[in-house]
Amino acid sequence: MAHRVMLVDDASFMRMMLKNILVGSGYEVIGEAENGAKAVEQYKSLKPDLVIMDIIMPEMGGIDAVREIIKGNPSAKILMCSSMGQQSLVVEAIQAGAKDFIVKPFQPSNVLEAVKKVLD
Amino acid sequence: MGYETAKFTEFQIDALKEIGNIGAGNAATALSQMVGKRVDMSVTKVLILPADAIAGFLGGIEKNVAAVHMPVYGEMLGVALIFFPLERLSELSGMLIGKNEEDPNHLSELGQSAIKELGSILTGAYLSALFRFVHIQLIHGVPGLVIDMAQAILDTVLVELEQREEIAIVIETEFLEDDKQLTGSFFLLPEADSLKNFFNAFSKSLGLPGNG
Repeated sequence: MAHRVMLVDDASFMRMMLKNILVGSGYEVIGEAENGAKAVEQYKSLKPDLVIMDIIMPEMGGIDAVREIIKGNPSAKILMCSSMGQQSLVVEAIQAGAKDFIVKPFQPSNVLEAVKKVLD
Repeated sequence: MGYETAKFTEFQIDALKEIGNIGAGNAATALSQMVGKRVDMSVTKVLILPADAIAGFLGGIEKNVAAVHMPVYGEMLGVALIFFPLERLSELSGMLIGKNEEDPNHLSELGQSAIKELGSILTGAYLSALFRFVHIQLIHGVPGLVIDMAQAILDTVLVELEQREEIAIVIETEFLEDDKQLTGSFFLLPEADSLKNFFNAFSKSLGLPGNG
């Protein structure tokens, strides 16, 4: 069965790019959220196998969302997606429970590699 | 108020230009990956401008431009702005989303999102270069896109900075994709006091020979 992925990014363009990469490689994108608060809500109902999470978003950012999701499910698999120059935030996200990170902009191979690594 | 331009030495301006070039290198890699084609970038100018000269630099207060703006925080507070020529905006979003839209004033939600993300990635590339070079950690917030007359954009964006410095650090960058050329300008507008911290860290790094 295809792994079910949820995408969280305030930029619809980024969600589209990620979706194209994932769907093209046989993953199923079961949900999309544009901020951390919506991601936390959707996570509870959708229970995805993997979340790809942006860091800087309005309302609730990615790091707080990771904390909330991990609180409800300590084994949640979350892959952070950050821009260059956010190194310090990536460390914080990993400490909050994220499994790995990719840097925007990304090449499809980087995304797929990281996704596979986190899901395995 | 009034941190004078003269306080930047030629040496510091050169260092800023070098940082700008590294940032442009990062940004070119980023942009090439986004559009799936080779994009070259080079820094054509680094300037320290008085804030009231920005609109003039962009072609006049009434010149219609597109700007992606975002807050900057960390070791310096301020606003980052990237200006793109309006007449090239459709082309730019077309490169990213794979279809051209006619009217740059009314880009689709996806087209706007792509331009905002481009601004955000370019800003990240410059800020990351600053970090590598002088260990000044700056992080940017959520980007917004505005299309308006240059002065109107500045008035709107600058109102968010309560006590801004009267200067802007400007890195003008030229993008080259195939034979197409596009100039974008990156502006960093610091809040009062922040510039001093930036300067101290900057000078300290430059004053450490063999460590830069």
